[in-house]
Amino acid sequence: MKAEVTPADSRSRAPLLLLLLFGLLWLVASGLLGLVASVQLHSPRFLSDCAVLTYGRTGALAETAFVYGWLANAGLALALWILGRLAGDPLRAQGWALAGAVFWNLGVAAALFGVATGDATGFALLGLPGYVHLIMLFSYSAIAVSGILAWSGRLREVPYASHWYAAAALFLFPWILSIAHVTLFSAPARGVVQAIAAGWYAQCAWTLWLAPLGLSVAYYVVPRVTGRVLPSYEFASLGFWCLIFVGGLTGGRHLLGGPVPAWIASVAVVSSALLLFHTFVVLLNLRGCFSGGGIAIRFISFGIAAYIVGALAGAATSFHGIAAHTQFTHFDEAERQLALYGAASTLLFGGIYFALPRITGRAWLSGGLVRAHLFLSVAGILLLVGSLGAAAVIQSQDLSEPAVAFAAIAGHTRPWLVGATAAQAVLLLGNIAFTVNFVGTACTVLKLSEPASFNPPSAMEAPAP
Amino acid sequence: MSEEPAPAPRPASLLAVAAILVLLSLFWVLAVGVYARHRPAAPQNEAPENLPKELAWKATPESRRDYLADLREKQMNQAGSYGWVDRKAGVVRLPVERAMELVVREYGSRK
Repeated sequence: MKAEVTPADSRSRAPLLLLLLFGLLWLVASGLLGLVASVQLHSPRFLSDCAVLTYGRTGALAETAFVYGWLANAGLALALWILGRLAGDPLRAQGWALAGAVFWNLGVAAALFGVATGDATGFALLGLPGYVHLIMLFSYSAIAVSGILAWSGRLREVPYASHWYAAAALFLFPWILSIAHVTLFSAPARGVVQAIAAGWYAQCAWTLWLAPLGLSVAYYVVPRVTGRVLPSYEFASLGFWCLIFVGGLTGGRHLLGGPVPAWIASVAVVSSALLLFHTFVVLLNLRGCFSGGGIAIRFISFGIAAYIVGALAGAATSFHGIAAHTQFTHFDEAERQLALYGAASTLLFGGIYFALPRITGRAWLSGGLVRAHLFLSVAGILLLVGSLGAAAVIQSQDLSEPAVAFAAIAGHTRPWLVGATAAQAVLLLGNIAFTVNFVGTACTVLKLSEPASFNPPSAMEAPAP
Repeated sequence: MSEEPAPAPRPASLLAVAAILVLLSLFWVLAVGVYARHRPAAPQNEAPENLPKELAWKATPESRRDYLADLREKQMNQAGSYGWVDRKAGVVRLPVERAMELVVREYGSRK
């Protein structure tokens, strides 16, 4: 049992639980805001009299709360946990991580307040108003201190793949945020360069920050749950460096056909094709997750499948012929939801299902809520991406017909957008179930009078449905 | 089941923490403190006397408006008057109205 719940778990609870709790609160908040935004997409009069809750703001609020509230908090918590475990010691400098967590979330709250009062930036994945960037950067750095100390004090000289991805996320986010802040806020580039910088940031936020956080979890959990060494592990480093060097260069694919130099789109097309090598390596290494297992591995296998499908779709739509049909349709939103929700968020769910029993020393409070969360998440994501994809197909066909009026296109896509709203509601229910279960489980560690009941590992996992 | 108390986390040296914070903030310092401060300001954000002569018209809204008015007047004059474009090659400029008449006549005479 000692090998299962290590000092790195029990002595590192405070910052990890705080980050996860903040993350879950933002997850539910983003779900509510996303639901409102989704309703407004097909029923524009809904809450249109309330300036704070008009579509332009609710969409940005939902995205900001999801990315910087949920994904960042949960991703950082799991990255710290993994790095701490691989170091074999409790996390050091936990005070810095705690303070960083508090200030990071104050920054997110300030950003949401700014967006709600009209300071949204309009840039994809960078809805944070410029004035919160500095607090976000320093609080992120304070959280990262614990992770970097654990990384530098690792037990093995040669790090694992989960090390690489977690450390890369810790190091690279401050860099991309700084560059984006300068080029878009403090000394804003003019004209088309601004669109290029915004596209670069959006792609880097995914490939150099959120995707590594999710992949770090997958590379850590899969071999432990399956009990097998990762196959073709010698390729893992090539896949990692391919993502780091090529990932950021794919941002130009969103600008195909735009008034940008042709080489930017060409570099993006070639980079998107090169990135398929990374995707192939991830599939090769982690294919064991598809052979079943506990609840954590179910989420992770779904997340890996979504990651691979998303990468293939991204590569396909980087070609002019296909982009001509998918650009300016709901396809972009479907692709974004597949990446953020289907891949990153689901990988983090799997990581939390694996980590929390080890951090708290207790099994999940309710197996029923765990199964409900899995069912609602999978159904919600499939329905959401499927509905937006179907709406994109109709929209694409209609847009190529000059005789079809814009209002008619909106009418044709409405049933599918209603489907997307239903999906948001399903996801919200699932996330509420997850949050209730998490809070109930985490609260058990606060009952100091009750001795910790260290169960065997099999009992700590909720059974797979 | 008796568990040995887990060891307390090892203290982190303040120097190591400071080094990490400096390392992660270095991007910001370089980008904001060095690049953004030394980047030439946009002409509209510079004092008129600091601008080179060829960019002086960008300095204020009034100077930009005057520049645009001059430009349009020059273009209107060119579009409404006769003149040489290239005397050696025999290329002339003529008013747009007259040019349209000539084009219509030319196309009308084709069979």
